[in-house]
Amino acid sequence: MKRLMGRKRKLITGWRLFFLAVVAVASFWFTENRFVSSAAARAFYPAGTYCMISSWDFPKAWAAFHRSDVFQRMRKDWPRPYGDWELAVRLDTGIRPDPNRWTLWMGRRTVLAYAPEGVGITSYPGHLTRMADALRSALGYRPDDKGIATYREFSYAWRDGYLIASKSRAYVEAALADSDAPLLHTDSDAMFTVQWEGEHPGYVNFENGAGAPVSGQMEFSATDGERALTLPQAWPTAPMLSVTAREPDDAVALFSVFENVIEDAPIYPWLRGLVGQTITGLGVRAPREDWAAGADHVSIALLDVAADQAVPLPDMALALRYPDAAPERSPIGEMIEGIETLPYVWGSNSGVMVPLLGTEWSPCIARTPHDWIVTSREPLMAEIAGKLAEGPACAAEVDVALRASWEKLGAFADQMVQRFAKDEMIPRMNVDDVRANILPKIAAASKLGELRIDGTARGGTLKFSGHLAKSTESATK
Amino acid sequence: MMLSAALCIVVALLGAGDANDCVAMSGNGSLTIGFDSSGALSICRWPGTTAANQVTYSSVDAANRGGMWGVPREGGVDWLPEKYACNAVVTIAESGMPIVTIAHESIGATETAFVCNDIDVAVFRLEFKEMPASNTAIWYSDFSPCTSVVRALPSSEWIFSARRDMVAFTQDDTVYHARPNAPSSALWDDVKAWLAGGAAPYWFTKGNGTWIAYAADTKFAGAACGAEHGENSAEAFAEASEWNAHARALGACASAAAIPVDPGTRSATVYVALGETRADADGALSIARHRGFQALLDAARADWKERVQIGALPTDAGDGVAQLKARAEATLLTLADRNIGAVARGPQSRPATCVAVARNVSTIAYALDLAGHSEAATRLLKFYAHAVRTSDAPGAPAGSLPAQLYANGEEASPQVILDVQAPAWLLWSIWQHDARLPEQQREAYRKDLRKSVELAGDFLSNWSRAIRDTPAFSYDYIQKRDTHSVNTIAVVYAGLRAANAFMRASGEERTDWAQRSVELEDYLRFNALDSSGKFKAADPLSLWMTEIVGAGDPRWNATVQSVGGEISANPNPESLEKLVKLSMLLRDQNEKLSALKPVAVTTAQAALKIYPCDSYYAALALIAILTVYK
Repeated sequence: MKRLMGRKRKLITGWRLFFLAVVAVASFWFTENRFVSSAAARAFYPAGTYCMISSWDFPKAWAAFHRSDVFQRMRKDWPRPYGDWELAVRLDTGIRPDPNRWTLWMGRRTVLAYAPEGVGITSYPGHLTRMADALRSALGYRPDDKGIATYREFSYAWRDGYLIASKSRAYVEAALADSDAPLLHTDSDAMFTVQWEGEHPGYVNFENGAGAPVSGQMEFSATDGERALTLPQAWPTAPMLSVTAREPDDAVALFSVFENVIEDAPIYPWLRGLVGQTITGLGVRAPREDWAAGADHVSIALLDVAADQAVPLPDMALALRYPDAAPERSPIGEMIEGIETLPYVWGSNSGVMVPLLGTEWSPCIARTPHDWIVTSREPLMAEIAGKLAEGPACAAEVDVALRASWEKLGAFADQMVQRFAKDEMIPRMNVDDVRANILPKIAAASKLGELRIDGTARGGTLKFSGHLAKSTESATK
Repeated sequence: MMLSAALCIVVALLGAGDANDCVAMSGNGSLTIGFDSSGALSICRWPGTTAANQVTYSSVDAANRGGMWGVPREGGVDWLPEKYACNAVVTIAESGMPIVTIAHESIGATETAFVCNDIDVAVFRLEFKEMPASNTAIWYSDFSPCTSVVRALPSSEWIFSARRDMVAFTQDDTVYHARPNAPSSALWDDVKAWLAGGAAPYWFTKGNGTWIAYAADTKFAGAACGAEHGENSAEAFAEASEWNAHARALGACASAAAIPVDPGTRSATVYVALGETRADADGALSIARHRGFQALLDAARADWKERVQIGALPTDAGDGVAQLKARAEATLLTLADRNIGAVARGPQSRPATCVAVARNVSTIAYALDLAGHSEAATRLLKFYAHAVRTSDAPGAPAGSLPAQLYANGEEASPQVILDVQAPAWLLWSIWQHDARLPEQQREAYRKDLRKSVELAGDFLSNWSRAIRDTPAFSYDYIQKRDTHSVNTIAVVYAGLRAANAFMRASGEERTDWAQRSVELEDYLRFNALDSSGKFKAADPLSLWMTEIVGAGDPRWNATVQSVGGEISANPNPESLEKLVKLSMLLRDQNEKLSALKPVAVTTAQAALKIYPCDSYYAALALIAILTVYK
């Protein structure tokens, strides 16, 4: 009997046990994977949700981001871009998140939603989470009569096999109840999709690839045209930021879309009021209605900002490009009517300077063979007049083009943030805090190269594609 | 010399604000307090007349009322500025002393407020004709310590709330509001921990910042610290009589204290001290409480009486003129920074007049000289002279002056504002003041200012080098942009001539400046006089300082008569400017000056009524009175 028992013990020990364990884990992993991948990307959130970030395979996207060229460029300055989030999840759940643990506990399908009730997440977790929840219920931590349970600071509930969780109970309640929530747009080929509601609803897919390729669309009426845009790449030096469109109203409307994002910043209303009052105070009037008639497209560029001055002054330019010769009549003559001007010539290009505020803010207007150009100061006009290139042209179907230089934006942000910190304008932060916590992120962002987004107008929709962080070595290709 | 537009550049930046933000003030050149027309404390500037406002005040946000008294009633508090605003009469003493009195006839109460002359303590007293039913008065304050100013953005503490406040707490029968210099996130965390029962932050005893401490002349009946707004605000605690339950607050906070009314004097008194450290504030507070209200008031009166009696008027001027002179002089001296000598335009935050306006240097320096404050004039001129730019920067060439300055020398206006008249008037003033200095002081004075005169003179000379062919632009305060004008050329001409005279007196001849002066004179004669030599300029009086037509020349008669008529018909601030130009033109013609006596007082009074806390108009009033009544 004793010898029989001893032989049995030998059967289940040693490498056999190890092999069995590996097979069990692999089977479990394979089964779980199939289970969590079987679900569609669905989400439940309140009707008032205004932003959704979804991913068909969040762990895969997460890992892909780590391997991406964008992350490689950023990692020296900002090695852990989501370190704060990782810490928060660990403190909230007790689990340090990584792609594999996320798959194990939360599955692959993940949707993060922002609503007036709060922020919440929908996922299709694996059996581990379901079993853990069942165990909690058995131990007395049952959901209430509305089906909502709590874990630490979180409220959560199940709906159609999906887990809804949020620190806001109101969010979970509304997510369970509402069937009028915005329809989720999600793309299985994209790493992430960010979708927003509001005046110009739309979405953008973040795809896997060099330079952070994106594509998407939004409700936005832009003017359609046939001739290719040439101004986006025409500036002698790459602007910090430029918007090119067929009509000036389109460029202004595009700005107002972004304005929705920044208008809640405390400084913004004051800054907007200041700009408005300054323009009014200077006696500048509105342009005539058809001031841009005949122009094929217009580009507004922020070329630089003198952030080291007492008041940071932007170097700005506006260019109207005409298919044939630029008209003789100045497009903005009515704006400066009654204001004294001085005649000026830049090479063979004539124009005027409008003395307003010293040499650093006295706009200049010049006519070149195919363009009318306005700059914020004379030295800038000297750099640009007659030197705007004829191309390279964008693709013919492009009606709106957005370009930005992360390096220049980063340099500007670096100076301004330090200045704000020195002047104690950043709540609860001084220069040392900013240097430790914010400047590395700005340094990382400044290495992202160039943002290039091209949009095509289709009825009331603007479809766009491009790169968020095209490396500047390949940007010229 | 004159600033036709009343308000400074930053109107465009900060909005028009409320003209009643400050109708009466008191100060000692380091601490300045001001009150709005309802009697609320709207201004508490420290350290210096161009420093940050240490109190949060808004004329539109009812929750931000700066500082005020209240009287408890059943179920709440009657805050005097809120409940009795329409009846409040806010004045300064008839003698012109900056002692503020706020009369609330409807409840039989009077407030008195002033700043001590030798310590940075402001005293606030509420006195009743009869004891109030509650035997208590409530003092509420939204002190918001701020430790710095921002380059080119005056009143930034009003725009950016992150720049002010940090902690308020009560201890040892004193309420403190404090903020250290450049607080880090760690310091904020320390205070948070202390609020939760941890150790007091180290910066309470080490390091500098802004400390505001206040106590009463008797033990508080209670005190509370809370938020600025909402149900956890200090005001809400005071209204609910929740005293002593809320001793500490973090962030944007306010405080309130219940003070027993002394039955003997039927009054309650609060002393507010400011300092860079808690020890400094405590020390000043202790001195003030030890001396007591009456001794401090008597000392302040005596000090001001002495200060404004320098350069007394002729006896035939009369008491009314003497009081007006004292009032104008006291306003000017109140706004003079005690440490540096810069004179702020005013104490207001909106619009931000709490800056030294460079173009006004000549008006203020001349007024100080006429009133016998030669040393103050010297300090003022040195302040501006040392602010002359020494190197070129975009939009700010060497030799130019910032349009506005803080007392610490930092620019208080955007560098794109190039006011060419400012360095020109500075040069004119420097030379005028030189003539008034005792002989033994001139050498040192000239040596100290020589470099600045050279820089400014070279700037003006370069700026006007192509005047015959190309318009030369300078910032225009009325048009709010750059323009070119004959008036600016006239001022530049006067400044360059003065600079050349200064350099000659210093032993150096600048022939280039002399040549440029000739060119400018030609330009002025061509543009201001017709072929027969008569004035063709629209405003000949604006050329008074050029001497292209001698002051006694009969060509001035028509202008003198017409301007005199305008002033008589309409005594207002603009008329005061004209009056002073006229009196400067006629300053050596006593008979003609005497004819201006009747209008001098009425015009000065009218201007000071509209601008009671304005150093520019105070200086104009002083010049008018002292030139006419000499």
